[in-house]
Amino acid sequence: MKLKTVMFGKTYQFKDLNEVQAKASEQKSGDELAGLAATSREERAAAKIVLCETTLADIRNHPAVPYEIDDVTRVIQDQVNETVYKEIQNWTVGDLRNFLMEYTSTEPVIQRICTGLTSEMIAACAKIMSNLDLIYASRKINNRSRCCTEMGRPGIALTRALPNHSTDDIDGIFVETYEALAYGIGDAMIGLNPVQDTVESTVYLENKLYELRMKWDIPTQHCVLSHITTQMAAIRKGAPVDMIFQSIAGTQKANESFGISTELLDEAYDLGLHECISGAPNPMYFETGEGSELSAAAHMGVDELTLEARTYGYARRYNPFAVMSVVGFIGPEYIYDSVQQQRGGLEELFMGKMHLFPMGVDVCYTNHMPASQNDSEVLAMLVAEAGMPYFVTAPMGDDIMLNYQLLGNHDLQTILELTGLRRDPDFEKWLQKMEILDDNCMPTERFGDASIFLR
Amino acid sequence: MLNEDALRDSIRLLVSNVIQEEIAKSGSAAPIGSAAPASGAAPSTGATPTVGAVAEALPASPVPAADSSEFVPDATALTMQETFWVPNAHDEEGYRKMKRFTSGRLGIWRAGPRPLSRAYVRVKADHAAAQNAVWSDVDERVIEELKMVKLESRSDDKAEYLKNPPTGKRLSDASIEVVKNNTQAGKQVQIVFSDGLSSSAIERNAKDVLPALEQGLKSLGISYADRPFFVKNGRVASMEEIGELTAVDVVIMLTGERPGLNSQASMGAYLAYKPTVGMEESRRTVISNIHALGTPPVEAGAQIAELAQSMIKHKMSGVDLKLV
Repeated sequence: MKLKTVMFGKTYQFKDLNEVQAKASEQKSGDELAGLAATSREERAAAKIVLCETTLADIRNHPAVPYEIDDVTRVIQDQVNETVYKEIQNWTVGDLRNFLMEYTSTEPVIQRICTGLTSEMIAACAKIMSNLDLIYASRKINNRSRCCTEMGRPGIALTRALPNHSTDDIDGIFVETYEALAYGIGDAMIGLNPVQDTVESTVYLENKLYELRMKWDIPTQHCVLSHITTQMAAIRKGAPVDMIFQSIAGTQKANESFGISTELLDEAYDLGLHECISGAPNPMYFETGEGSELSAAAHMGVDELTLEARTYGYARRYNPFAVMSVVGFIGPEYIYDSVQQQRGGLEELFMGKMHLFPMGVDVCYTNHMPASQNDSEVLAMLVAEAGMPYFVTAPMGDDIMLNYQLLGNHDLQTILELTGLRRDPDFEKWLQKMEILDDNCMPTERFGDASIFLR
Repeated sequence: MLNEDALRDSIRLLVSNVIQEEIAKSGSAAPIGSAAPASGAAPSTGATPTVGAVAEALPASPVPAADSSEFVPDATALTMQETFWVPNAHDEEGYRKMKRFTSGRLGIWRAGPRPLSRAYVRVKADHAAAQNAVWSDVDERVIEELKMVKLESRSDDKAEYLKNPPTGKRLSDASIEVVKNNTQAGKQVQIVFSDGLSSSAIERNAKDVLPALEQGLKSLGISYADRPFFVKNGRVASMEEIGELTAVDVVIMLTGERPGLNSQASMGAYLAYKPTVGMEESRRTVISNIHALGTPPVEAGAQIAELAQSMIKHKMSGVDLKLV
């Protein structure tokens, strides 16, 4: 493996592949905080040049965290299709990027090659891609999944309603849900982040959201995002759970800090396949975020983009209904500003799609980040053009429980009109039945009036 | 046990009354709880706590007279719960009733697919206030008025403070000396303020919470350092170094919480028994959401004093104290 280069008469020597990967990353505050980032623009460019010439075999043979000590590494390495891998092991990272850009590399061709890749290879490739490269490649890949509705069909963007409430008040949760539905939001899921993480409360909320769904016959699924062990206990108590959620990360140590292990996730997946009321072939749902490993003091000297890719490699084991990264949520010490938010969002979408499941990015920021709604709206247009199958919105983009800013309910309809994307076809029909959309799928005078659900 | 509760309640009432009297006497800050409703019937909230964006103006800000025709009306005067712009709603009464259950931006209607202009500029105002809370420094006059001793963390500026949290958790070399020179030997409690993630939280709440807290400590017979510290660009953990340097029993850290669009000036109180540098989070006890529409600062002051008393009595804090 070649770890040095000369550029403009200056020698750049890297000690190992992890250093090349970290220094080749676009600027992220989290890598600076961890002391891993390139110290100059030239050094960053030099690392990208070295990475571009690194072979896929070099990356396979040097996983970011050793196989022997890390479960996430073992999951990623063990799920590689060896036949496909052998075919491409001598490709460089540069060859992989070129391959993705070629006109002959259509969706099934790319998806086949993806089975021979490790997460570290995908992260490396993202680091030598421009924003437009990431959008171009992302748009080619439409991975599908199914819970109650289908996710990932080309030209279709599903959206999660986020009815979070500061005290889990059920009336508050319902009115937030009504508001979302009135704006044509909710076909990805009605997904609630609860304040209380108790089995009793989760059973109650799962039942209430299920009743709401049944009462109005809404073609979607619901999810209460408590800890996975809480949801598993709720299922065993007979709660109507459509899918099982968990936050995951890219090292075993970080996952341990979340209170999860592969054994536990395997058990949850099995439980989901056998007992989720949705009957879903894809009953798992994960959320992720760059910087969560560093925040748990479990980054193992690896840059946050590589760790994020590894998180997706771990998620792939469970054929998830969807994975969503919360790009600007973790904090400015990991994703500092709107430039890093935009870059991170595009990288995450691309890397998720390369891991063969439907990928969403929660286009968001916190108020202590130098970012604004304008920046989020730009990123929203970019990920929409990149074929993102899964959005999430809240009233005027304000999550009153988690105190962060995401896309607004109004933004989805706007994005659909601008890009020509559509909602889930069954959900469209339902909205027409509710007279929220007209025959041409345009808003009626009832669109935006949540009181139509008060009866 | 019942007696102890009753005693605690009566102390809280006493402290609260004393503070209200003092505030009334001095005629300065508005009485607690007067910040909100602008017009119409204020929604009764039942079990749901009233949370919402309101104008919590500093006493220093010029406020236009209500009848002034030269002013565009204050767009931030209404809480989100009072805001309702859906024309010809299917069930307006029901909609308004439902809105009481959430401070989310509901019932705001649209122009085409986009938010109404008034809804949009309102968000701009709230976001500006939220960001300003993070990026501004606490008004020097507040620090001086409350006779705080000024300290600085190791963060050179706000950008470093946000990007590199460890720098906000330790004091600068110069500030370490200031702490040493201002330590009063033998005190049980040291009160500390820091800007945290909202300078506005300190500006709006410190003047109410500090006298209430000091009065509370006094009536419980707990000794405290005469002057509180103020840590600029300080995170919660900066209390640890102060704890070690002053050798007090309990450090009370009052800091600005991360601002939301509906609450830009919320303060959190973090208490720890004999804190040490690098200690586990679980050793801290927190009272969060201290602001005019959350836990009122005066009431919080009394609660914090009681909590300090309990820590001194049991010689512990955080999760351990919960288990007592």
